[in-house]
Amino acid sequence: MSNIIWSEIWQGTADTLRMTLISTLLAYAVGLPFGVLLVVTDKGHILENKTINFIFGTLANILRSIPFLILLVVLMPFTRLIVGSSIGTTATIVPLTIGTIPIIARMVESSLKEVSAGIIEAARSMGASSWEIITLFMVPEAGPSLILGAAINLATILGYSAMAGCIGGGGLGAIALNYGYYRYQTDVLMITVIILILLIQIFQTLGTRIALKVRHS
Amino acid sequence: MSLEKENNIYTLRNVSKVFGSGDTAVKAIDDVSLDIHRGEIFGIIGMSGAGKSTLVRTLNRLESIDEGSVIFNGLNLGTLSNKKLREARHSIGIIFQNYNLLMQKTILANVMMPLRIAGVPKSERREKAIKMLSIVGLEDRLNAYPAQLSGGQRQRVAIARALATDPEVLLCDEATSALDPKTTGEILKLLKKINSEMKLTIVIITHEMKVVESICDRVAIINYGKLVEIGDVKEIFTRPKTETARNLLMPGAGANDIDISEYKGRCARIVFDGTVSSEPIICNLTRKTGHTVSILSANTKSIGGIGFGQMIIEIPDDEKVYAEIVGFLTEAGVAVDELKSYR
Ligand SMILES: Nc1ncnc2c1ncn2[C@@H]1O[C@H](COP(=O)(O)OP(=O)(O)O)[C@@H](O)[C@H]1O
Ligand SMILES: [Mg+2]
Repeated sequence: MSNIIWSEIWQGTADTLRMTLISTLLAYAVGLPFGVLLVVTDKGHILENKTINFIFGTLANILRSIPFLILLVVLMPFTRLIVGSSIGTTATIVPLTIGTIPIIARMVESSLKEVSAGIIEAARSMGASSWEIITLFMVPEAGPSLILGAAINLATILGYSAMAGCIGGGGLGAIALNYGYYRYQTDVLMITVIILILLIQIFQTLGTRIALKVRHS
Repeated sequence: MSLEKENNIYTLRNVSKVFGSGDTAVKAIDDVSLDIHRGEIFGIIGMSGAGKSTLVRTLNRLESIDEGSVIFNGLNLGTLSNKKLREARHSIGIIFQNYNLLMQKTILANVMMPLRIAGVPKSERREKAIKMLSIVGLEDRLNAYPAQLSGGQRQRVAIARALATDPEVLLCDEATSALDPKTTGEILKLLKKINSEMKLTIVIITHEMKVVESICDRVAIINYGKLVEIGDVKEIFTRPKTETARNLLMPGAGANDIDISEYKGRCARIVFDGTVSSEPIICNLTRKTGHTVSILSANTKSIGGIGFGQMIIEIPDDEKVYAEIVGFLTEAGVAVDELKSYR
């Protein structure tokens, strides 16, 4: 027990949180419009477009079907190109973001699809433009569902970040691997697992709380 | 032409709309031409699937049409640019069976929404929305969410929202079909009040004839996408010319509900058009001719102060007796329509 370096664990936790939150934000910046695009270009929707829907749908499926660990390796040259290195916490943000964009896009898509066709008809009847329909009707109506989805996505990204830690990504994943696996310090391994579980619990509870608070139906 | 433009808020000419193609094609609207007069309450009635919703949706071009033209206030909706169409929609309010309110916004925010889209300055939206909500009697529920309201209240919010931009016409697609009879009556009363106080044209789509009966001035009957009858409510209700109209207007006395093959005598439908009343005529028939008929079904009522309706009667199967009875009824001004059984 004496060999546990708490400062390192706290540093790892901070790194993990930083990677997770920044990646989630970046992935949402792309994934949200991506998801919107998947919905509005769908058959019978406001900007129906078979070609675009097919291209982006296929892209999402391909990206999503690559196991994250493989994606990490495949993306290494690309990561090096933009961050200047393929290891460390900053470098991990690149594959984390790219890997979760399709997950977020599909999650956003399913949330937006819950918005009834009637709401969109009402919006069109008022003379709303497509942009107004998306920003003033669809996204706000899907708000609670989008927040719940975000909590689930945060947990997924957190898990991925731990995985990334195993191949030079830093954070809790790296600590678990270095101490728990290479040095047989099971106690350190246990502590990182507990911290990860706690973080996921916090995200999930917070997400659900907020979603319930903003939901009115 | 200019007079027509003034009197008619809508002019529909040869409007057709097909859904799907090939074997599965459905002609939802089939060559419909009609005019809707400014200031009237116009009903469109038909069975479920007749094409009513599709027709009303062409009136604000939620649905595009394949053939013909829909002219609103002199504007051909089919040829308008996107921008002009969106502008025109500020003048066309619509309410739906399911209200279609934003569930995540307060009712005040719901009513402010069309004002925002119409480009009304932010400072004026709130006041206008409150005014609209007080017209529908919900000024004390401004911060409630739709989920906290009853169906009737939600439809009131929808009405306030539809009228916020001062449209010239209000389209109602089965607006009362999800409501109980009492609430339906209240909503219809509100619509009637808005129609007379604001001089607003109202188009009401319904499958319920009591809705047409209680507030419409004119009515169009559609069946399988075709316009089968159109005219003043009183006129159509007293003298429905088509089987569709009769079945729709007087479902209780429809031949469909009676298996006439069960009866030994000859069955006939007699129609009262308001010039004679139904009760004495059957008595008089017996007194004058000495023959009796049995009433299999009757649906007579008073609409707009005049009595009308129809009955299905069974007449003894005897050529001479039948002729006398039909003769008496025809002379009394009652149309007789023999129902053939298809045994
Ligand atoms: N979007 C659509 N796609 C295919 N068929 C449709 C569509 N909308 C309506 N229809 C068909 O058109 C016909 C008329 O429908 P509708 O206008 O909804 O009737 P109503 O409102 O009188 O019940 C029906 O046969 C219906 O199935
Ligand atoms: Mg309908």
